[in-house]
Amino acid sequence: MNTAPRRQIAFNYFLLILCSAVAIYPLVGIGLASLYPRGPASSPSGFSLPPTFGWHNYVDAWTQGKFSGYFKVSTIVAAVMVPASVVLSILGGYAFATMRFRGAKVIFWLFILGLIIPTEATIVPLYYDVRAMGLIDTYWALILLEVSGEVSFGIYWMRAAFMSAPRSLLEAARIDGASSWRTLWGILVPFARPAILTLSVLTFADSWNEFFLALVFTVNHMTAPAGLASFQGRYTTDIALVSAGAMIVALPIVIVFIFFQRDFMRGMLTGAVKG
Amino acid sequence: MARVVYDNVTKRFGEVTALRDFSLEIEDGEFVVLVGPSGSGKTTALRLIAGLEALTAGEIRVGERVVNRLAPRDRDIAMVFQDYALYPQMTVYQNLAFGLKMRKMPKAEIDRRVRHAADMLDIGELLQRKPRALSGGQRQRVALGRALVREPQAFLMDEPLSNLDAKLRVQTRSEIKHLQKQVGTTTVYVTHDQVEAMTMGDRIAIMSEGVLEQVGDPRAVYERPANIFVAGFIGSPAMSFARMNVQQSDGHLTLSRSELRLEVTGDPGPLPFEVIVGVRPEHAWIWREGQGLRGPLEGRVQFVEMLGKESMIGVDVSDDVTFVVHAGADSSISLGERVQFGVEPGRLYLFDPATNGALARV
Repeated sequence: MNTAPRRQIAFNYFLLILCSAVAIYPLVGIGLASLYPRGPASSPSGFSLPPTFGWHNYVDAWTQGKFSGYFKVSTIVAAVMVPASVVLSILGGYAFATMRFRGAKVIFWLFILGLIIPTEATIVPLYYDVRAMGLIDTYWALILLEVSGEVSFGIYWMRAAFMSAPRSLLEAARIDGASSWRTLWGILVPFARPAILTLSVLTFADSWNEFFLALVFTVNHMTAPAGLASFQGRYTTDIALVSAGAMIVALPIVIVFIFFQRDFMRGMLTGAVKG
Repeated sequence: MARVVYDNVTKRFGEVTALRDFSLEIEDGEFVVLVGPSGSGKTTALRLIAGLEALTAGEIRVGERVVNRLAPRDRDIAMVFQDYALYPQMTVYQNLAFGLKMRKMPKAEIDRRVRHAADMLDIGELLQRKPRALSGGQRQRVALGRALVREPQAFLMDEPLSNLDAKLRVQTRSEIKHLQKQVGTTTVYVTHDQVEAMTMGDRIAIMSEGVLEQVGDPRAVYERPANIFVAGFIGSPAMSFARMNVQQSDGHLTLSRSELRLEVTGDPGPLPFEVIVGVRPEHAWIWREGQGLRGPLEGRVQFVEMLGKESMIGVDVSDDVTFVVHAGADSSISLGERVQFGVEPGRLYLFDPATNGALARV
């Protein structure tokens, strides 16, 4: 039975609606702006509705902004980087969650350090390293750097997910004769499916939104957000067109999130709610 | 099927000794229950056979093999866990088949064994269901089935009934016992519930603080507890204890404590000046002349527990000493009343206060 007082429920709703409004406000604004007619005479602002609705800005932005190229880069990078970092995170998380080995704590904290130190702090030495490897302006530069950035969080995340599995499940598998490899892929991975899907969505969002690394390490292999930045540079005055470009870039993440919404929420709650 | 032998086994977790110099021989086909309160080391003892913990000293043998250094999968044992540990994403069939598949058994043989076990446990209808679609009792059966199909040297069961409701627990208790007799597999069963231990075990091993206190068949342990711990642990409601002085003179024994006096005929042999007297509630009755009880003892009623067919009366006989006594269901004894009671002959247990060991039964 729900015994929370009405006033508290009302307050909770108020707070949630307020937070949602703050998050949605700019998106709605940009969405409306992207539907305005083009040209300097058009001046979209706030929530004012456009005089006429049209999708032409999206067509123009896609062709003039060469977004197909940026999308291709972002898609290739994400297609390699997301599976790679998720698999590495699963393997690392499994080791830290279930195995006792020398130096486990120190190594785990090294990974956590990767979470704490911002990329900006290491970008200069990183640049020289990547250049020494001859990977400047390649897919590999983006893929390798993004994977290395993501596994810190991924290992931390998967360790927590695997640790929430009952210990008896692992022990039953050991007695049943399953190898470590089989226990991981046959028992634990299916158990942690929501957490893995959530990690995949988060990793995809991170990869798709990658801007800084693309800006520093690539010239002809720009990701969608980096491409958007250069597009904005070229069309600063055409707010409607730039808004359409921004919407295009944001769209894949929205689609992925909607697609995995239920698993995503379940994964986020893993460990938070017992039972 | 095989004997399982603990030979001077010690297990330490850092500073804590969970099991100390533990020796026990479990015969081929025997059902032995390890029973004791939390922290008594019973689960540790079980996990050591399974290979889920490594022992600190000593030796464990399953059959003729020393298994100390063998991986769990090579020990040829099967375990039923307290929370059943069913693989949530697999169907009941897959859960049962998993251990056999890992041993690369031919598919036809896996199928035969799974269906045979399912028949025995009456879970044939559930084979295509996932564990989350099963009730607690059904999950428990699947967990048993997973052990059965393996046809191992020994079954290890870690409090497998503790998650069931009281009624189902009683029913499953006899089913497990029956099943074990049917297949004849050596079984080591862990529980903290002494009723479960008494009703299921061919022999029970009572443990406390990592030490084996006594092992024997349920009746022997109940009738002849080796020490105060066992006497207090086995039997429900628990045995009442009182420290009393001893006077012995040619065939007569007098036990006393302030105003409390109990005359006993018979010679239990030499006793110390002071003993701890134990009386089981089922052997103590509200006094009636001519019933041949020893006594009477007298005290003030401290509590009355009505159990239906009878009542349990707590009688405060002296400072800090309360005896629990039987009374009929229709007795009209009320709180604070002074009552007399007696003890059946041969049902006074005497223990040595220095060693806590049993001295005599008079």
